[in-house]
Parts: sequence; structure tokens; C-alpha cells
Amino acid sequence: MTANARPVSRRMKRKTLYVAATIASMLAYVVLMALSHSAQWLVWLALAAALVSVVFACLWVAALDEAAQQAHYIAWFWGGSAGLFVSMLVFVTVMLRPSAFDGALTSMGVEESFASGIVVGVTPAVIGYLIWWAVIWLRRS
Amino acid sequence: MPTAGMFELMRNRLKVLRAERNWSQADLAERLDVSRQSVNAIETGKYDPSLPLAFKIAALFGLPIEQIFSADDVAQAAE
Repeated sequence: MTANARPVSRRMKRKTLYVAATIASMLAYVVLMALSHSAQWLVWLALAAALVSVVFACLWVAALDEAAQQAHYIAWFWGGSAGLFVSMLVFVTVMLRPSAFDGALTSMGVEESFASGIVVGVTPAVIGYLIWWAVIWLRRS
Repeated sequence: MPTAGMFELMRNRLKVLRAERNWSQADLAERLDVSRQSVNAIETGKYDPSLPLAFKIAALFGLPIEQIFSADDVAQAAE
């Protein structure tokens, strides 16, 4: 650390704490789910940990300054919408030709139709959001 | 005119005012309790601050808001 090191602001400390708590509770969710074969109550504990992570994620967003919040909102709207468009394309394609993506999801390890529906519906939106946010962040850095 | 996507943005003298005081973007960010990226976004016209933040900036520099932020089309409309 240099002699003229800048003190960490309270906002930055709060952001770091909330991000760490979000990641920790998500890790707890993964670990508890991995152990849940031994007891059903571990599933409920894991879901509780996941809900805790959502709370901390909300606190993290609230601790961001207005420009950073706006970047996330814009990224979610445009990136998420673009991702949902991809999901709709997949949906319409499968409706018109049910065998269009045969084997594509099973090759990724997703076999259950419910799970594959979640993957197809959510993943493109999340990827779109992350890409859009990264572009905004790089432009502002 | 600086723009962010399809939206028109305002001009500002933040970079000049900051330079006059020999502050870095990080210095200004610390005084405003925002991130350095946010200061950069405002300076480069990629983000317009909210009214509360604009007032905070004005108070920090001891100037009226209209001496820091301006919009060409607003000035033309007033003429």
C-alpha cells in the first residue's frame, strides 16, 4: 500500500460487504443442495440461503450510485430483452419444427423438459444482460 | 453533440472545473460519493446526473447549476 492510498469510502465498503454476502449465500445454496440427498430439510435450508442471497443482491443494488444503477437497469432492459427475443425464436422454431434442437440441450447435460425450458428461457436473457452491462462499463471506464 | 445511444444529453463543464482545482476523477468521485466510472460517464456526456446529484455538484463547486450544465436546444428554445 502506498503512502497516499485513498481511503475506502463507506459506499464501497457496503458494496463489497453485500457482494461478498451474496456470493457466500449462493455458495451455501450450492453446497447444501449437493448435500441434500441425505436429508430433505437441507433442500429447504438451501432455498432459504438462496433467498438470503437475493436480499443481499438487492442491498448491493441499493448501495450502488445512480449512474451504476442506471447502467444495470439499461443492461437488463436491452440485454435482457434481446435475450428474451432469442428465447422466443427458440420457442417458435420448436413449435414449427419440434425436432429442430433435438440433442442440443441433452448434449449440455440438460435432460428434463422443465429444466431445459428454464435454461432456454432464462440463459439468453442473463447473457444479454451481462454483455450489455460489460459494454456500458467498458465505455465508462 | 454528445449522445448516449438514441438519447440527447446535456453539456457540462465538469472536466474544466475539476482541472481548475487539480482534482482527479477519483478525487471528485470521493467528494460526490459516487464511483470514478460515474464521474467519467458524466464528464464524457454518457450519463446525465439526477437533479439531486446535479445540485450536489453545483454546491461542491459553489456555482449555480446552469453554469455547470447546459443544453443547446433548451437555450435555443428560450431565445
